[in-house]
Amino acid sequence: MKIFVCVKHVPDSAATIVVRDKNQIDDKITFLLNPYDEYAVTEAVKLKKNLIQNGASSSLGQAQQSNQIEIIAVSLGTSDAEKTVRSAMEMGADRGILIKTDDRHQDSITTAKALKAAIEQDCSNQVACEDQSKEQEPAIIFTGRESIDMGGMQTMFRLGAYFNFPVVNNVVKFAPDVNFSVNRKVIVETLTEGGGRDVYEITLPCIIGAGRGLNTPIYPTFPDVVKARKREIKILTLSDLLKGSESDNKGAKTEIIDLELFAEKRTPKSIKGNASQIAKEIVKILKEEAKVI
Amino acid sequence: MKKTAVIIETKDGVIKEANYGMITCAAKDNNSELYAFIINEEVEPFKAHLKKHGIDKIVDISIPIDSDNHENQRSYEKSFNPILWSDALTQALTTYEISSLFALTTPIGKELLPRIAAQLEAPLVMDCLDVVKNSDNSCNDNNVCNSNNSSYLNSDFHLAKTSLYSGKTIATVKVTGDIRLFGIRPNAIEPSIKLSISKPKIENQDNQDQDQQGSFNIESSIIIEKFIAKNRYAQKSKIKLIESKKGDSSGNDLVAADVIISGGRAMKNSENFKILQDCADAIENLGVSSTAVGASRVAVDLGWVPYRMQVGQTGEKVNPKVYIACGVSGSIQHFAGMKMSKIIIAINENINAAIMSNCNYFVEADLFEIVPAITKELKR
Amino acid sequence: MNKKYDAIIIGAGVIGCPIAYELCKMGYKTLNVDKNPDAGEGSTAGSCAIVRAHYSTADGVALAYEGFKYWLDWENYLDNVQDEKGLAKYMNTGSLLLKSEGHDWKKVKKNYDEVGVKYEEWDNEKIKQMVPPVDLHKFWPVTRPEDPKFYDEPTEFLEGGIFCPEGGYMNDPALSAHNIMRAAEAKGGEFMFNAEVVDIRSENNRVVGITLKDGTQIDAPIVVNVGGPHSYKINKMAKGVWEGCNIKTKALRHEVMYCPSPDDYDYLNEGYHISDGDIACYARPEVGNTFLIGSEDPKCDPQEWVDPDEFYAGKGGPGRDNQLTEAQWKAQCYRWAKRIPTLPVPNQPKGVVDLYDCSDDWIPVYDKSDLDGFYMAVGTSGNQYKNAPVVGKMMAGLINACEKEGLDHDKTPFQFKYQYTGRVMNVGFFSRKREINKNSSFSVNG
Repeated sequence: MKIFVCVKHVPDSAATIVVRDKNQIDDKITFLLNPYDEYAVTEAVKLKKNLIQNGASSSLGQAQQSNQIEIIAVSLGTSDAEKTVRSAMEMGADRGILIKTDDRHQDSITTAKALKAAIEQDCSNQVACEDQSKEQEPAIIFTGRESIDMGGMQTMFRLGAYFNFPVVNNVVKFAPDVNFSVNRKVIVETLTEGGGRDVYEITLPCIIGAGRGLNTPIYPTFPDVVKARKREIKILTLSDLLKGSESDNKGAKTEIIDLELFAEKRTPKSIKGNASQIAKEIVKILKEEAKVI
Repeated sequence: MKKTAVIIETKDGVIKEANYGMITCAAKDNNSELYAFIINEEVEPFKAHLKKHGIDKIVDISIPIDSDNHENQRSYEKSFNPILWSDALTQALTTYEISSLFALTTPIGKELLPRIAAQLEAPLVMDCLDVVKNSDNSCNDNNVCNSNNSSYLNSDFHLAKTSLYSGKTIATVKVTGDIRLFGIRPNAIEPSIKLSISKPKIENQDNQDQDQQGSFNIESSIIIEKFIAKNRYAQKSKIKLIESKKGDSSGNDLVAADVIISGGRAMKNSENFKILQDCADAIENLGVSSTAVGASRVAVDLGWVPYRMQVGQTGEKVNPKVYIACGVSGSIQHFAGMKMSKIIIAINENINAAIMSNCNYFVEADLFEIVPAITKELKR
Repeated sequence: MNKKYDAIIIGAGVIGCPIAYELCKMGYKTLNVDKNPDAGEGSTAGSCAIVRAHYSTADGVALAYEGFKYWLDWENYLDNVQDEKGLAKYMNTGSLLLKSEGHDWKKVKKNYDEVGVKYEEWDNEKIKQMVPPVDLHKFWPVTRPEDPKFYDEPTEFLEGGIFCPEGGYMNDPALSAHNIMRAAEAKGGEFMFNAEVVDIRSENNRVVGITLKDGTQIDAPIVVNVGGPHSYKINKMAKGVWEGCNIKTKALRHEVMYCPSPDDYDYLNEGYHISDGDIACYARPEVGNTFLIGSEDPKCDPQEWVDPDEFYAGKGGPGRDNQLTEAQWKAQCYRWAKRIPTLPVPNQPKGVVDLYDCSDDWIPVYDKSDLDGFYMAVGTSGNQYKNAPVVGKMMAGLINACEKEGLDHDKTPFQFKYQYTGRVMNVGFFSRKREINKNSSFSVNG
């Protein structure tokens, strides 16, 4: 069984952003695994543990079962994104795939196509093992609910459309159904308006966009880091992977043509009066200036 | 004639205020007919308001529960189901030959827009602060307009302004494609009334209004079209929405909050943080923003609040629209966590506190008088 | 007419405030000027505020051991002053120094014996009992995660450690400075904030006062430079001062990491301050059950000497500005993660970047200058927070002896008697004219 986790190499939310060349950022800052992807990797690891522990019906021992369930981290990025794939492996992914490209900005349609191609390619390369027949498709694909740099919130849906798999995003609860080994169903909760929850029953294969609070990310210890150093990262190139399919969607895309730093210069203004007058003024600011009410 | 559509979001039978800013943005294109897509609502009461802001046609969408026999069908999907709704909207978009689609970047919009975009393999920009057309009507240097001769596939909306890199930059995004989707940040655009003097030229209209004066008989000049979508998920679906649970808004996420109220040393104890939570709840109950209560390091060190509420260099880094700092002195370490806030309001008895010279608004007063007063004013 | 004081102290950090306090107690009318908005908001705020006694010189150990007594008796030291912000608290965790090749621990032990510091020698078994998650392999020499040798399997073990029951940290260094300010004000001291010094005026080789950025001139026959990382710039403003120092100072950038403790170890309440020369790290507990991990500046780590004004303004680019770097996050956290193998290291760097006011031999300069009336308490090199209250008393004593008792400190150095340990300190040890002290560890260990 193959569990894929799509991960992205993004600037640290605490990093100072400097714009250069009109639409690029200075990349000599800290880049790391997208925080939402941490929930995705952790959930994949939890799922694998869960399936192994509950694989009582299988005649295979736990170690053999562990070999049968693979977590593969996939990323589209520049060559330094290899660090993030390695990060995902330190958090429990068994293998990694990096689709290398030179352009740091990739739009969502291209990204989804690339991820789909890489995942498909990996599944068709599967070596049949033991009594498990060749799996030509992924069992489940986890992603983070959005990337903190682009915030497009859409790649997982595109991936779902390309694979024709059901997709849910902003997932805050995930569990295999009690009869998972028979019906391949998972029960999932997404976060909706005002803290509400929508509960879905989904049949695998499917795509799960992990939301904040799905789990508590389990960060690697030093022994985990040492183990991950020995695992494989396969490097592909974007141009090779998508050869021939570029003109399919008639050039539909988004492109960042300009970036400007959002600078906040504050000139403090005093709000005076009695408590009631001050409160009125603040509510007015909330309503008219901030537009939060 | 090009066609633009907006997805109208309602709550309890009322159109949410934020929609009007979005409509204003979508109505900027005078060469386009503007449609409002509304699902599962009584649309008659909406006509006047929608027309006033620029809507030409309302498409009243319903989704039958069963996929067969929809002419005889009487029962429709009532509650929000992202899978059915997005598919119904995709069908409507195609049927009405829409080339630009707008919705709000809200929990609902985040479910609908990407699904529609994925189905159509169309570009989508979320959280737009603005969307504009070409500066003139001729085709741009990439000659996108000429890619297909049908006038249907020729939208002028192609530049979106959005926030990237954790709110630190504003980006201009060029959108290319026959169909383009935009998620508007709620309240980013000021709503305005659009007076249409002349009526839009539309073919195949059955119930065109006969009033030749035009602009004064507003209500009757807006057309309502009923659209019954096909329910393609009724049988054998791999995904089933089995329950929708309403939530309480307590324990909200600092990192995602639009409005954060923080307490510092002046809070004096743990119980007093309830005053801040009450204010946060009052803001949240007005329906537009998510709120959260935060704290400075001191409050955490003294054990008044848990560490997960700490804002600062060694706590959470936040990026809200409004940060209300109550009794927080504003040390450099605290600032490192909230300096990206759009508007900072400081309430402190000490006029010399660092935060008072590093905010947008300061109130030299006792937070225990001011914060409850704000809560009271919000509830009015 | 310019305002006039008996003494102007430049800087209201954790060293500048006690100097004012002690001078006030002696009857001087003092003014502290600080360019930040409040006391302790400069490099004091970034201090780990560790209180420990293991220094490489007996004098260093003695000073620290004396200082320790002040933190223990905090309310009385402050003469029971009220501070609206509350009082900083001393957390006595005890201090564990692992015996390693990174520390000349035998010298430290000798110094302890000489000064009379209480300690116990712990073997590995005892350490494992007291710090359950610890791994006592020898990881020496210190390397960086970019170096493949970093991942070599260790084969030897360390040889135990030295535990001082007296040691720990102050929970809020900025607040501690603020407390001392309030104590000084109670004795008549004045403080001025958002006030940046741009000139030090003198006549006939005597200091006469300072000039602020907004043009304000304030007069005093005594000016003390306690400007922290900015101290070298201030020394350069005063005629002849910089040239008269053999030991110079400059600002060194430093990163301190905040890493969560493993869930099953209550480091905050049960952990010790640990000094680990084997991996060139030290750690102490922090709120949130966190390890605060500092570096002991191993040779393999880059040293960034920076301009303090640029640094605090956020300039200089990655590795030189006031943002944590991923490389150093991994270096310090992974080193510590070898010692605590269950330590989970988050992907996002979290911590504090600040500056040391570093002297050429990492030993402070507590001295007068070649300009009469101009004194300095500088070059604290990241290891003097713990000595602040004593240094305040010592500097006040030195100033008074020179100004009121006619002492020629360069010729016959001021002798300072420690009130708790009774030992007498030859303050000439801290002279600006000294040759580089070869006994120094040349690190934050002092």
